[in-house]
Amino acid sequence: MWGHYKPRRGHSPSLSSLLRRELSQLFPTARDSPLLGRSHPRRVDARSLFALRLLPILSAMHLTLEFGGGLELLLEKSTKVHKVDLQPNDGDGKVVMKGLLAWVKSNLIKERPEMFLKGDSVRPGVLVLINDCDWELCGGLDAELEEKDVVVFISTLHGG
Amino acid sequence: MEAMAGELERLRAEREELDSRIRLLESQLGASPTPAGEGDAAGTGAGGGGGGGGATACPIRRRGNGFAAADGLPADMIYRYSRHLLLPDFGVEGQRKLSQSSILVVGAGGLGSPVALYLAACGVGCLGIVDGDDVELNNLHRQIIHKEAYVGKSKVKSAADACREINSSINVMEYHHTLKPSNALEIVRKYDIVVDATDNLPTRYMISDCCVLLNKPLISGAALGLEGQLTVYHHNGSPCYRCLFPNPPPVAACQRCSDSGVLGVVPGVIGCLQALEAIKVATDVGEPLSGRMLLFDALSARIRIVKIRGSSTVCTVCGENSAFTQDDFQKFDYENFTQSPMSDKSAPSLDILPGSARVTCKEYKRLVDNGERHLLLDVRPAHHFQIASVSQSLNIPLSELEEKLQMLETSLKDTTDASSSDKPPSLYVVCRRGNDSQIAVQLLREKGFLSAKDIIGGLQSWAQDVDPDFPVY
Repeated sequence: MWGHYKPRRGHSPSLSSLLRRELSQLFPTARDSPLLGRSHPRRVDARSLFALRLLPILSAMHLTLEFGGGLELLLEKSTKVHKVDLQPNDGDGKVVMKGLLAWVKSNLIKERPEMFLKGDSVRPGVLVLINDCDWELCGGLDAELEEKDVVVFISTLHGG
Repeated sequence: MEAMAGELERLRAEREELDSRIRLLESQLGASPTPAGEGDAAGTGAGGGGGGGGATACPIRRRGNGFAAADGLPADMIYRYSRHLLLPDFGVEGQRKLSQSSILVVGAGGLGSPVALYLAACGVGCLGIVDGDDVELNNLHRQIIHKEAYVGKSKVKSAADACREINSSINVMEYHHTLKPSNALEIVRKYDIVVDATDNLPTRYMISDCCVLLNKPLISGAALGLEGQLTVYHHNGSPCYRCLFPNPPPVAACQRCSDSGVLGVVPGVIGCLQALEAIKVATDVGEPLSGRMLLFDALSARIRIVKIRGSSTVCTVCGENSAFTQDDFQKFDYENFTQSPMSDKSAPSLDILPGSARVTCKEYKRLVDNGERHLLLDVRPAHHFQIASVSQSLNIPLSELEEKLQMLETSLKDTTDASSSDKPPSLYVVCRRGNDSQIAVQLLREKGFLSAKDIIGGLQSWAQDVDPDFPVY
């Protein structure tokens, strides 16, 4: 907890990012992909069974989301810590902050979304931290998330 | 007996009067030797006094016994602060810097209490305390500097007396008024370091702006509920409050201790850390929390320290091309900017209903006395309802009202059945202060409960105008 700061660049790729790369080689276009394509897979062989059953689990990005300073009140049972599995929402297997905010809005926020978002960003008075670092220093809305990242949303307090 | 009590009262008042005259003269002189009074908080104890700082600076007492080396500490200070002097990282140099520094604490509340106590005890040269409020009984669970005997008296006086009781060798300055753009520059100018221990958003913007204009480091702390936050603004390249929050949050996002509650020890923890950061900045010891923010979650016993952005080059106040002047500052309307008052207390009061949809507490009391069939709906949160409620009221919190309309319908029907008259029972809605009840009535009327009326001023008015025994919280 204390000042733990995960470097954003230059670490070895995780298992799931390797699998994501593998998957995109197996199915070069989104149409062919059993995960992303709309049509039924033509033949279910061992390969695509693996891709269909296991890859969605393996390729999901595991994130820890934390809400504080009163933002937790907008969530179910005011739970502060959420361990979530996110499917990369674009073709190249990435999750960026912008997509995460939209995902949080539609999957976690139960009431008054305007107390969390304004436009496509967070409302004024909310600090966003990626691995204990201000998101302004990591690219803001365009910051790319990685496996096991911890994203904290905290509303600033004024009381005393 | 009565005569003795009267005499005692008279003597106490006389002593208070003398104390305040002594303090006034002392502060005018900067520092003056006065004989140690018996149990007298304002007494300075033995030792010579020297001249204070410059005309504008907060006066600092200089003491010496004439025997110590020119650059050494006086003997009584060595003994008093010996445990500081024994710290290799702090030592004589740290203590000397501390004794020559002046620190202003804005707010003598939950945060300011430990800040002022520790800064007084550790021997800062001059400690200024600003607060315009009086001590209230519901402050005492967290504002540990104040004692029961001071309820109803000025917080600044209470805090200053407590500080002088702990350490008579420091200079304590009292500012018994709210810090405002009109007086902030003049007061803050006299100090080296400012501690923001206030309880509201507009004051936080104002103090930050003031510190940028006068180039003072700002130790900022906040606490609410079971969480606290702490950082050092405008110091060593750290941002100012506006770099971090260029736009104020919506009013609905600004919770207050007087609405949301606060566990007493939480501001205590943050206040202690603020005192620590102030000491570090004053003595230039260690790494202050600049460019970092400490987030404290009491419930899960977790402290997280995060890296925050540096000062912004485009900040409207501290940025490179900022045109914000002291003149602009004095004219700036912080309450309008944040849409919230410079106080923790007054909740903005709504007025969204037509007069025909509202009754006063007294009117409501009259119709209860007349035996009019009705249902009283209390829309406060359940934990508020548990504190105290009017008998026979039905509790459906505002947040659940829309989904529990059926329950309300049933209760209204039961009220009808019990009554012999054909007239449908009326529906009255109450809350703590009369804001939520208006929102509820608006919702109920839209949903077809046309008889719904709001009780103006809520239970607070009820206690004030009708039932003085009803508990206020």
